[in-house]
Amino acid sequence: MNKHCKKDDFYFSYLDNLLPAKEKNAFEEHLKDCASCANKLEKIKSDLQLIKNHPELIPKQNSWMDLLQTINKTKKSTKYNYKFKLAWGVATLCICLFITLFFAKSINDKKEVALKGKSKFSYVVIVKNFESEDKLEALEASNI
Amino acid sequence: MGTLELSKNIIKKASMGDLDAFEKIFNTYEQYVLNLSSKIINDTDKAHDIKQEVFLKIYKSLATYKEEYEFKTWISRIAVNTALSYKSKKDKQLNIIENIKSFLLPQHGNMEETIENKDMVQRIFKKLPKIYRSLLFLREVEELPYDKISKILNCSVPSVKIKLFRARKKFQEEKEFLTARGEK
Repeated sequence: MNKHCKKDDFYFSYLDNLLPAKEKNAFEEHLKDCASCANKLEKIKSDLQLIKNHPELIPKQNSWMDLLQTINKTKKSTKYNYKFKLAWGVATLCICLFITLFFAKSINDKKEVALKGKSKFSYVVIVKNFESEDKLEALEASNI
Repeated sequence: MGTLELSKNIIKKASMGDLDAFEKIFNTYEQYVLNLSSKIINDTDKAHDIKQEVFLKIYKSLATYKEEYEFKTWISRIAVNTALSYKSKKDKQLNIIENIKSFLLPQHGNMEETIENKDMVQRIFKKLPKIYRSLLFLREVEELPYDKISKILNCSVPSVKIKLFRARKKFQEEKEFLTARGEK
C-alpha cells in the first residue's frame, strides 16, 4: 500500500477548490514529482465521476396529466372538506346554542318555582301570624 | 446545472393557481426532481411516485414561497425532505424483512446481491445512508456549492463538509470492496 503525502480531506478540498491559492499551487507542483499522490488524486476523481456519469432516469410520459388529475382530486377533496367542516361547525354551534338555551330555561323555571315557593311560604307565615294574633286577641277578650 | 431558471412572473402566476404557469415549472424541474429522488431512495420505480408527490407539495405550498430564496434551492429542499421521509418509512419495512430473511436463510445472505444485476453506483448507494446519497448527488452531480447544500439540508456549512467527506470516503470504500469481490 502506498503511503501518500496528504490526508484524504486535503484531496477533497483540492477538488472542491477550497484550498488557498498558495497551497493549491504548492500541491500542484508536488503532484508533478509524486506519482503516489497523483495516482490517488486520479483515483478519487474517477470514483466520484462514476456518480456524475450514472445515467439519468427518463420521466414517464403523461406525468403532467397524472399530476393534473391528482391536483384536481385534491382540490375537490379540499372543497368537500371545507364544506364538511363548515356544516359540522354550524351543527356544533346549533347544538351548543340549544343546550345553553335549554339549561338557561330550566334554571329560570327553577328560580320562578323557588320564588313562588318563597312567596307561598311567606304568605303562610304571615297568615299564621295573623291567626295567632287573632287567637291572642280572642283570649284577651275572654279573660276580660 | 445553472440553467434551471424561471422568471419570477411565472412563479407568481403559479402561486396564484395558474396551472399553465405551474406546468412550466413542472417541465423545467421534472428531470432534476426525478434524479434527486431516484438517487436518494435508490429505487427507480418509486422515484416517479416521489416526483409526483414533490410537485403536489410544491403546488400546495407555492403561496408560502418567499422570493428571497432561490427557487431551485426551495424545490430541492422539498424534494430532499420528501425523499428522506419516504425512505425512512420504507427502511423500517425493509429492516423487518431483512431481519426475517437473515433469520430464516442465514446461509443465503448474499444471494440477493449476486442475483441482482444492478450497476455499480446503485449497488454502492444501496449501502450508503440516505443523507450521504443526497449529499453526493447535490455535490457531485449538481455541483452545488456548500452553502446551497447547507440550505437545502438545513445544516451548517462545516457539517456539510464533514458529512460530504465521510460520504465520499464511504463511497470509495464500498467501491473498492465491490471491485475486490468482483475480482476474486
